[in-house]
Amino acid sequence: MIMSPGLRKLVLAVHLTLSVGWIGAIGAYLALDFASATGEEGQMLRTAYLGMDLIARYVIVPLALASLATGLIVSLGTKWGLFRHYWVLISLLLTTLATIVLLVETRTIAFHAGIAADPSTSTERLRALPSTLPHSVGGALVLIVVLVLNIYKPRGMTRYGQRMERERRTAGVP
Amino acid sequence: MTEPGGEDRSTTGMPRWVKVFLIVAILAAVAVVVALVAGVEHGPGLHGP
Repeated sequence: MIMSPGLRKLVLAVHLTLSVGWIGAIGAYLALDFASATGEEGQMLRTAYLGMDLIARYVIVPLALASLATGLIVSLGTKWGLFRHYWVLISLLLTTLATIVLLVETRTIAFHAGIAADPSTSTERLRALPSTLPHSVGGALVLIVVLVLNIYKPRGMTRYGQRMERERRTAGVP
Repeated sequence: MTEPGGEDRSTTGMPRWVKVFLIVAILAAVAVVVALVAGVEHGPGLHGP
């Protein structure tokens, strides 16, 4: 179902806000992640791990799920479709992958925060916690790739898209 | 970030940029699998004291 122009712009504005906000939230998370990976002082490490959990749980995960959902709505509600163009399909796959990895990673983040919240945890124990930097840097890169795809919209229709296009032309739809 | 407004541009085969993307994605996936098989610490279950 193709959305009316007004509704399409509204949903697109919401989707863009959520998607760019997701990248921005990862930027904030990365600052704390870097501090936890390189920090030596106990209070700094404890604060960083607790902050990472709060940002991931209450900002990044909701933004990711909402961005994915509104992306599906925008795709299905416009002529772009979900499986017609390679850039849309790849964006969907990358966003879904990033969301799944994020949801799995939240277990690790919560585990670290639980250790950091325990007053009896030593600074040495906090320093020894494995870094989540590879995941957060990887996630940020994936989202930037999706952002670039969505801005440039590189050409290329899938076989399904080409078939739909032929049928549309055969039916005389403008 | 799907945005309407461009032209529909049909092509017959898979574009070069998609092929390049697939190669990079496969290499990245292989690198992750190799890292996991090599025993790189991964996941909350391995983070116990």
